[in-house]
Amino acid sequence: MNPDDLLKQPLTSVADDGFSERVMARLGAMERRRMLVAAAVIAAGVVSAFLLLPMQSIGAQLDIAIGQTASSTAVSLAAGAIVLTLFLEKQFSRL
Amino acid sequence: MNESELLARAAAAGDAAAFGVLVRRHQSKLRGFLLRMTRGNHALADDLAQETFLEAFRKIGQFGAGSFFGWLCAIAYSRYLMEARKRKLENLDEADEIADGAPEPETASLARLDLEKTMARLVPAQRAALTLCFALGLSHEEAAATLNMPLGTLKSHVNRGREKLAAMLDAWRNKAVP
Repeated sequence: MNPDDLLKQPLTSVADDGFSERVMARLGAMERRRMLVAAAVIAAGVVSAFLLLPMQSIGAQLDIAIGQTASSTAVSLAAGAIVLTLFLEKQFSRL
Repeated sequence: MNESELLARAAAAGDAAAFGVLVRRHQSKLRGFLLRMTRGNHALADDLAQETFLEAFRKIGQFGAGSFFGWLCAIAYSRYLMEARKRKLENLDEADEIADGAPEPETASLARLDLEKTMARLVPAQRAALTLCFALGLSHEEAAATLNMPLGTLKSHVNRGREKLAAMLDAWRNKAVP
């Protein structure tokens, strides 16, 4: 048999024997670990924010800002325009 | 777009089941490729194949168009090279190449003539280039992209590998059938 014919022989077929399941199990564990780390980082951030930031003062400022925004005609008109646009887009997409 | 590319897109969108189909579809060829790269070390080949699939899942968003299997092989080859350097599995450079003379007389038998043993005497780049281009049927361009080397270098590895393989086979035959 010449070398080219020998080289063209397909690779030995390797039976799965649970390999794919092991990969998917490790993948699931990897994803769970990633989510856990992300959740821990977010939780640490939130706790740090509560401990380090002046939350009472921020809360008071937010109350004022929300009150002003809610009573603003311009903001109400903008919100109405957005809702109307979304509604019309949904209606047209059904046609 | 072929089915593997569609599955890869679905996996990139978060469909783990689609990735599972890709694993089942490509595991045999990928493990076969790594088995040859590791010169028959089943445990190491399987470890590398698992790591390759996990890395592929992490980077699936980076997969563009083209051969999904070629992309997998690129990850696998890079992992193999890292592992080979770490474990000092074999000389990776051409300069430190294994002497490719005829084998010892007691092994010079046509009955024991084995492509895998012959391939194991080539440097990894030649082994990978020959496997991708011949056994796995990738084009020279695809193989060069997979091995992250210029097309000219790939062709040179293919030609040198073929020449050495032919010389080794001749030497074996001459010793076995004087």
